[in-house]
Amino acid sequence: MSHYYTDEINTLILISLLKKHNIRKIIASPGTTNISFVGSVQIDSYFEVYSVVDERSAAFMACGLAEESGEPVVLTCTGATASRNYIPGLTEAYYRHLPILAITSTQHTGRVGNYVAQVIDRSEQFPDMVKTSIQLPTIHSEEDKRHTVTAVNEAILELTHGIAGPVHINLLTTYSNNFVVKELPECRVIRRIINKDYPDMPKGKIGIFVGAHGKFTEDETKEINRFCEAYNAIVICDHVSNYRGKYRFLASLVNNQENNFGTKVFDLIIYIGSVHGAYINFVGKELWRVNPDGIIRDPYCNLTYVFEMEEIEFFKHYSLKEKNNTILECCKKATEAVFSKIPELPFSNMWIAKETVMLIPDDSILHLSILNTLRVWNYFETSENVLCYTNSGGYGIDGCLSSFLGSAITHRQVQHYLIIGDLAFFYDLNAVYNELPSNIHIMLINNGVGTEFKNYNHRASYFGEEANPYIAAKGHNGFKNKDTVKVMCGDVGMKYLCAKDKKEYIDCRDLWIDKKSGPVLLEVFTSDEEESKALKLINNIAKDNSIIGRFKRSPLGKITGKILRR
Amino acid sequence: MNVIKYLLDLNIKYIVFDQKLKKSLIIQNAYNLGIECISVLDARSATYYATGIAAQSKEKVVVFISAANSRSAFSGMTEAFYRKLPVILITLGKAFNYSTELKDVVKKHYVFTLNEKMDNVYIDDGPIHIELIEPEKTDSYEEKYTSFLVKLENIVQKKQYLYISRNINVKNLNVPGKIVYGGIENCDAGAISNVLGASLAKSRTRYIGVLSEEEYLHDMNALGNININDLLLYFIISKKDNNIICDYSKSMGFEVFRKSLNELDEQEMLSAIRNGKRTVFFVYEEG
Repeated sequence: MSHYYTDEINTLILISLLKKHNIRKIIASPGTTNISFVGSVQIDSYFEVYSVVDERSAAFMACGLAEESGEPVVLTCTGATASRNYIPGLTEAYYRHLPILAITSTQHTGRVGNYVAQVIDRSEQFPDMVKTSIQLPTIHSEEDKRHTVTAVNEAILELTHGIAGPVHINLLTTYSNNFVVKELPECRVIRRIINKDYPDMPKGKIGIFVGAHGKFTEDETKEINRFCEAYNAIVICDHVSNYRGKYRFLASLVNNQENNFGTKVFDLIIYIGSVHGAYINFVGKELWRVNPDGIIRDPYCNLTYVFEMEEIEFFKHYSLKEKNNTILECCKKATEAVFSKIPELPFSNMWIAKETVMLIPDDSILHLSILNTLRVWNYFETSENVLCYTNSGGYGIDGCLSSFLGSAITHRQVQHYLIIGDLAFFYDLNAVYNELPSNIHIMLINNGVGTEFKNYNHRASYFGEEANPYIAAKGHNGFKNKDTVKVMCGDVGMKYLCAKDKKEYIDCRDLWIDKKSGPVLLEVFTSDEEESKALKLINNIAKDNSIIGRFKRSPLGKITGKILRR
Repeated sequence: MNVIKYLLDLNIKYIVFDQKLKKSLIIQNAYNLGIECISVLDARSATYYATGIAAQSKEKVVVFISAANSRSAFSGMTEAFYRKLPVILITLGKAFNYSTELKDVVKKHYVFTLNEKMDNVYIDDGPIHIELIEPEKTDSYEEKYTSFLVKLENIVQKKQYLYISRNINVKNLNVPGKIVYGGIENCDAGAISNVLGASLAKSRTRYIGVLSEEEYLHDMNALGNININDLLLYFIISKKDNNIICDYSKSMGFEVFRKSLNELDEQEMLSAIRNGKRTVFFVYEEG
């Protein structure tokens, strides 16, 4: 054999994953644009390749072959109208529920619509032709590569997910003629577990990460607790996780320290719930997602299994082992150690959170706005019976107040507390002109700027003061005008409180919390400098004093880090 | 008829139509009005015809096809789109979901019933798609060919794969082996290929396809495929005798049986199944 696999990485990943998913039947139609793919599979004896000139015929052959063999069948075609001839056969496959993977090769999609010969637009599909359709661009970075692996896995899994059917991949090619790669890359495989073939629990350290989640039932909490006992696992939480079981580890405070208390690195992360609230530092070698929707969600590009089932079913299946949990103690000790060393913080959202969070009454609901507020309040534990929410679905600042009010009018008997920054508050301002129920307590942290962008560790800090006008939105909405919100509150019948320093805050805090006060708004004026200072102080309580840690902090270490990252 | 009024308003001079729609009132009316009506077997081919006519004549050209065959139309429509040719694709009936159109096949998409006025339908710089939603009459082979199917039931055995295309339109045949009812109702494409594809799965099964003359003609180029093998047997059912089918099959290396319904003999069918050769068994109505 005079040639090997192509050197086009997207194609290599695709071929590698076809093999991992046991897909070997390929019907190839001749052409130039799919040479990188066809030239590579034809030298690999794993694949059974058949040639068909007319793509319409090829797609119908794939129907017959898939049905009779019980296996998925791959189609591959070139540019121009080739793929349009797959339409009748794919439509038949759609209605007969046959798993056919149509790989249509294409030139760079930037060429679409520019009078480039043979280039057509394959970005839209008929609703009853394929179950899903993805674009597979050329790979230029490690991250491209990781997401390509995820995307290809997802497309292949969709062939047989639920009701089987066809799937489309538009595969970009650079027309590379280098067929020089002798071995396919080893690619991460994602598998979907529905009710059988459960994998073994990997050895090593296991963490359950809970993204935004509704209230857990007692049974769910019990099963998670049993699981943690059995596998020495911990539940990594932020406030919006709402897991209140024994193994809750509110991780922001400890895991944002430079020092590693043994609570950051895991062999397996089990992800339940949706988008997380706080940005918590931890890494897992692999990720298992458990959700009845069975969808591939791969935030860290390390997903290996999706369990399409209720969480309780998952934990019940695995919780059969003996009890021996030590990691909980480790997390608790680390939290105590760091918490006891928190220095005096300047007047800031962080300080307020520390002085307030435990006072939010039991059985109430706490909303945290995006983003700095959500971050800092996650450093401190709430009382056990408080449910917490944030708009972490789309992570926007645009509707925090509205979501809060929506929640408050739904449960009028439950006290609702909202902590919100000025950018988010004014964004959604006209929400206060709706009905204001009496169970709301709003705390507006007004520093006249998007503090998020002014934090010492934010990438905008590189711009310093130059970030203010366009990046950090400084000076809008009256720029800490002391009357703006006060007058508005008067107009809409909301009690107004105000604090400009620690003493004033403590003086009015209890009134703000008091169940009888609502509707009430407490405006707190802070500055972005103090906010950033507070964050830096709290993140630097426990430094890594090992030789490596000290080296990393030194000027030489920083330069080395930069070079390595490049 | 509103469609005819629309065609007149647009001063349409050419209609390319799916030959299945020859008897439709729209085509009959169009003939009478002196519009040139061109019958084309395959919808894929029809749309390309239209691009050719439009490019030469600079006229708007209507392609009139049954919805069931419409999925074959989009290679030609892509051609029309990129060349800004004024091709009006009219699909009759409701077979598929066109709530989303591909980005580069038509500029506009309209849906009408036959009784609706076709106002505000514009065609300026490229093709459009009009769905005329009306139930289609189906031509069933079922009753006429019962005698053939009964014989088939008698002779097909275990370890034989039987594919009955949707156009043959029979269900619940009773055979001991595997039976597949493939295809989409009234869609003529892909029957030969379907059976050919299946035959690639196992090496010792006799793969028997039963399909209509129209389906053969739509997919006949599959007989020239290099994967065609001796496991394959196609029964082609036709309203009349057809030299093309027999001659082309022979030229592609098939053993050909050619029988009218009256001459049909079970033993002969059995020998076709057992001959171990790629075979076309052509059955036609006499006279």
